[in-house]
Amino acid sequence: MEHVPQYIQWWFLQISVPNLIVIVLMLVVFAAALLLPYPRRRTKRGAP
Amino acid sequence: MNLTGALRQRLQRDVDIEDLLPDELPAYVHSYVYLFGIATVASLVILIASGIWLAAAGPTWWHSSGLGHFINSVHFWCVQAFFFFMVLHLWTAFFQGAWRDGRGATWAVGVLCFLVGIGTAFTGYISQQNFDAQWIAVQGKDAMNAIGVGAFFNVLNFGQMYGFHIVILPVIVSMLVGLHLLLIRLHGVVRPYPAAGEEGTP
Repeated sequence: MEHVPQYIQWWFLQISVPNLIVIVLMLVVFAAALLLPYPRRRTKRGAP
Repeated sequence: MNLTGALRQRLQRDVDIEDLLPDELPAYVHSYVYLFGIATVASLVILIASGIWLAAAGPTWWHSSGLGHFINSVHFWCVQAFFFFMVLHLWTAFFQGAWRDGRGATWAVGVLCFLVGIGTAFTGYISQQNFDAQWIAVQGKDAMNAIGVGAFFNVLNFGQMYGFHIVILPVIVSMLVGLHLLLIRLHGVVRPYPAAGEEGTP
């Protein structure tokens, strides 16, 4: 908090590096959650 | 019929204990994306627990002791986790069209959770009792004045902001999250969109 973060400027967009890292990390986690196979388990009942 | 009787009839009609506490979920609930919501709730639980500790011990403690720094950091990082997972949950719900088939209220209450959560986080940043908090309050006062609420929501008034942060807003967020969970239990998880060529494809 005491340090001034670095900023990235592209055209009219300006974003701090920490915020950019968080957004990229969210995209990575979202993609991983979609693509990684979910472990199989015993299924007693299908979709209602 | 009195209010109590009407409420009992409504609950008996709409609330099924098997829906409230299910031990099985539909087969399509089979992806990691369905875990983002409960990760948000888990973050909120740790947030409230660490927040109670911080409120009980006070600013001097969380700024001057090793354990205070640690609990303060747990509280701070849980906020990051809370919004991280809430936004991922929002993306999941958006791309699934989670408001379909009578689930509009669930979606709307989720939006309210997000908005009140932002206010709670904002008052939390102001309540840190450090230079960062002072900077945010001085910057934020102009925005509050610009929308005409500066007289009722004075971000330079630490006592008011602290009260909002540790009592009013957490209670509202908790009630909204509880209602959101209740609505999910009552209506169930939305079915996925039909695949291309399947019946029901627009």
